[in-house]
Amino acid sequence: MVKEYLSLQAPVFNIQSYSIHDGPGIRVTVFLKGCPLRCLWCANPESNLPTPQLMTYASKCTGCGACVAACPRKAVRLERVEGKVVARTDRALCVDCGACVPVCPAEAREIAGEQMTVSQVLEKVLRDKLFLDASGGGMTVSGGECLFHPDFTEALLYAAKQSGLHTAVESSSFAPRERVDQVFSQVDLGLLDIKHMDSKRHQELTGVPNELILSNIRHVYHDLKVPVCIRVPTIPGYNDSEENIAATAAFVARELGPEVPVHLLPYHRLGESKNESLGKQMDLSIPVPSDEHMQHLLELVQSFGLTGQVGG
Amino acid sequence: MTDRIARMKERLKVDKYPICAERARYVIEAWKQHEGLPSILQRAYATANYLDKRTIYIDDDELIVGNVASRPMGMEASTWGPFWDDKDLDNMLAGGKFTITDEDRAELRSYDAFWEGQGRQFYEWQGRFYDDWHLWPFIRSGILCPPWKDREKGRGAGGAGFGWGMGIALSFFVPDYGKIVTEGVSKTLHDAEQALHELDYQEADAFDKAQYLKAVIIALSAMVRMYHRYGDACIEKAKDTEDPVRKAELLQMADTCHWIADNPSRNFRDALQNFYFYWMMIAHGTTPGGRFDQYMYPFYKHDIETGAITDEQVLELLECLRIKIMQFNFVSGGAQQRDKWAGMARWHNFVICGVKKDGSDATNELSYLVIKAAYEVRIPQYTITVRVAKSTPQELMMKAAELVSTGIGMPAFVSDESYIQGLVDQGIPVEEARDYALAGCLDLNLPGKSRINALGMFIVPKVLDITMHNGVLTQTGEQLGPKTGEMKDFASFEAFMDAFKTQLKYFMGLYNEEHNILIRVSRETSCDVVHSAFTYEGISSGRDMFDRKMFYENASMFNPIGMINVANAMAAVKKLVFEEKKFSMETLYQAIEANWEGYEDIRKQCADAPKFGNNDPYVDDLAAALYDYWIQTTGTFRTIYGEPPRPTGVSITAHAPGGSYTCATPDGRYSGETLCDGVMSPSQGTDHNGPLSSLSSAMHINQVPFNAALLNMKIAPSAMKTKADLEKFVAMVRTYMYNGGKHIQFNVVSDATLRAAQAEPEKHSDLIVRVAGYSTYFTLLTPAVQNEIIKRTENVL
Repeated sequence: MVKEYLSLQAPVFNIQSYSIHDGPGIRVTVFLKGCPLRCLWCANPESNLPTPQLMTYASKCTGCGACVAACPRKAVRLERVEGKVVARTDRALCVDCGACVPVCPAEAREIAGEQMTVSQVLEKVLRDKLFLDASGGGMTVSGGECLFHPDFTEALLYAAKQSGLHTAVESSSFAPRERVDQVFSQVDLGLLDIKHMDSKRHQELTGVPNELILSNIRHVYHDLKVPVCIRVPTIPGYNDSEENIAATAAFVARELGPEVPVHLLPYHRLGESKNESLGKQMDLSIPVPSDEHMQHLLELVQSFGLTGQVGG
Repeated sequence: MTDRIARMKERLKVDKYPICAERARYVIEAWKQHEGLPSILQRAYATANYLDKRTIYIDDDELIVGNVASRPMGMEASTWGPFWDDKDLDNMLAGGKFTITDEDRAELRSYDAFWEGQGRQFYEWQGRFYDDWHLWPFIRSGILCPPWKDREKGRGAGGAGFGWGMGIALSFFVPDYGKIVTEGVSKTLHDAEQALHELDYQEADAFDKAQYLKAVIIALSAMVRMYHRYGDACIEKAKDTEDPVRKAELLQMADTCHWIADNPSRNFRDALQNFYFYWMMIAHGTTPGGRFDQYMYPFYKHDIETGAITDEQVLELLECLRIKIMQFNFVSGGAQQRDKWAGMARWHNFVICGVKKDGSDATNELSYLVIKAAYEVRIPQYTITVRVAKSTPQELMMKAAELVSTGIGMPAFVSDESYIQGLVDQGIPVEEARDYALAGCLDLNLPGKSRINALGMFIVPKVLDITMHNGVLTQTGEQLGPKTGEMKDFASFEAFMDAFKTQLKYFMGLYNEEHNILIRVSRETSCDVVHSAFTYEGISSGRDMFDRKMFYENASMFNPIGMINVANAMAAVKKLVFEEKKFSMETLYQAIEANWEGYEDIRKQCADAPKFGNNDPYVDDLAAALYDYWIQTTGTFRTIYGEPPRPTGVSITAHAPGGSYTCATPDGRYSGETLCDGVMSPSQGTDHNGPLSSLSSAMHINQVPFNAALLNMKIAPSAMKTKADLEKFVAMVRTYMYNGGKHIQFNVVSDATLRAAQAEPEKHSDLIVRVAGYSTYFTLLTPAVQNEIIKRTENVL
């Protein structure tokens, strides 16, 4: 641990209070920006890049043109869309400088991501400490990918533990082994994703293969002795086949142990509108899985002798 | 839910509520006969005449008897003033929810002459005291919401309205229900007769006492007669009933009515019928149920132990009670008033749990059954408040959370620690303080030992409006408050704040005078011995409750609406004008005068300035200081009973009309926009940091001295799905309750559902939401209030 750990910085795009589905009790979840994966269905696309990004909300835009005047690179112009005048940002010209954000009277623009120090983040987290303590909760670091910022994450987790908080991370486990060792030394609970058991398919869906991921999960659980919970974002048409869920459950039961719980997280559409706000064309048209389908997959998981649940 | 309850619930759904003239007929008849008598006697005769002549009937299926109006689901015209003129009446009927027969309309019209120019109405009495030089301009200004239009018409449509129960006085107090359910009315009647018998006319006050005691005897003996009439009606109905089971029920109900008319309660059924009869008698406006699970418990325990009743039977009776109370419909006032009392809301608040007088935990089997009845029947009234103590069982809290998760808007939670400490700080012995109950949404009362008469909605941002205009009310141009300086001349934040405080203190003084007038006028126009007899020393004192100081005297409540807007405004002024010097006071003034038009950048900066509800000490400190000032200043005034008014914080829905005539404010709010609701709640849509930040901000304020401190929170259904979710919810509630929070209530409905209900009300007629202190059907609310509920930040995840 470096001495000045409290002043280490990382880009944070959200600090979510009253998180109740990211570990035990009431938690504050810290979302870091920057991720080595590119999951097609990403629910937080604003977390992909480690740099600040402009987000715009067309439904709020009143077409006043204040942003057009404020933009130093002339990336914004007014357009008529379906009879309504709205501001359009040319993403090829935009450098995410954020000059248009404070001038917008309609709060239709914001910059996602802000460099924050460990002590700044911790100060915000500790504001809820009464509630975290009372509920047996704590702090969860999510992303993006927390292993993408190992020094910062380690320092933040350490600082949280020093303040008496339970710590958890939500991670893809995709990182070199030494980073895993560094961060998980401060973790009380790992919420670890398995997105697909077939490495080739995993690469197609997320941009990276899964061997390192599975190996790291085994390492965290068996060698580092950190309790883990396996999470499967369940995406219809991508990884929700019985075959894949069965393979995932078999991995958990065989390679980790029946005591490791499995959470099936049903796909939700929040990421779609965020993509639009980031100026990305992403029409995946993924349906939200039905309750019945999720229940069916859960029973499949349970048939391997595992405990599981739908949702976090 | 049994088939019986399902059938009774179905019968609550009617296309139109009939408006009826019967109560008006018999009350006015008696008033005319007894013209010239002191008000207390005249009103007792009116009660007796109405009770003796009113239509009574027994509904199918019911196990608790007592019809509130002469027709099923009907609403009797109130006797507070002239009935709405035909235009107003037609306007209301046009809404499609009410109906009136031609005969009843003609009859109501025939009473117009009774009121015309007779000075009998509440507002006419008030108006007599409104001098031209300070009170009348204040009453008209809207600082108290709603403002009066003119002296002849008061707040619009007089006090007239339709509905509620059989009472003739506002029922905003908690009577001694323990005495009522145990003894019935006959014991008190006999006590009054005895006291009258023992009067010694050598004492000067014996004459007043005689009148009071006679009035008690007149009214209570009419109640006894009515109980017997209901007993007879049950027997008559039994004669016509073939079904042997129902016949037996009716005979049992007849036995109950006849017995309790003259004797103390023998069992749970007697006690419940006693409760309900008395509750009907006083229900005229929001009518609290007191600590229901406490005073009913001895009867429950006795009957269960002797095998006289089962939990299933008790549950069914409690569900019957919910349905009976849903029959107390209500509509009143002019159009604006109807907006203010959005929906047909009735804040009938029943309190459960907490601690007993000896400090031990009070939760019992009945507490659970009260929750279960609400869970099964799913109707908005009566509302339930759980007193949360450290000792409150987790199981009870989980059941309560489960009820919250249904979206029914109840129970609310209040903190024993905060309420009891507040009373002890005001000099109440701790054993008495532990017995507190709530009237209205959440206002502190001691059963039988306190009362609330005046609770004006004081629109604090209107005072900020006047401060920004150097004491001038812009609507009229008159110099309403002291001259405290032009905006442009304030050289420091402190100078601006001082000017505001000067104005606030001045107007609070007028508020106090207005409240005292209101209390004194209530004595003439709203005294009711049925209330007074069941207060502490109700007979032995020989005085009506309006003529004596109560054990805990809280006749006057000082209720600030929109203080959070002012705190947010002050934060913006302090930060942007005086610290960061982004713009001058003069520019801010111009921006406000222009309602931000042409000053969008300034509005944006103001809107982005620190906002209460985000756990930001910059603004939370200001809010805390402003509330402290309110509390301290309140303590400097005196009511006509010689005690200070009590600070409280409930806004009901006055924040919408209050905002409609308040100018743009430096928190970035537009002119006319609604104000923040509640006293501890953030402005709608300005809490960006999640629910815990709202709570932390509220915990920053010293809530103990408040008799109520409303905090609304909306929570998404997805956050209350599993047992683990509910455990976390309970942990949140407990943490707030143990760390300075006083009250919290929840709406658990998704935005999508609310929007769908707005678009297609007919498909969502049973959607219940919570507005301020009460639950009501969403589709009955005005669009403005609907929008505001949608706008309240939903806390997802």
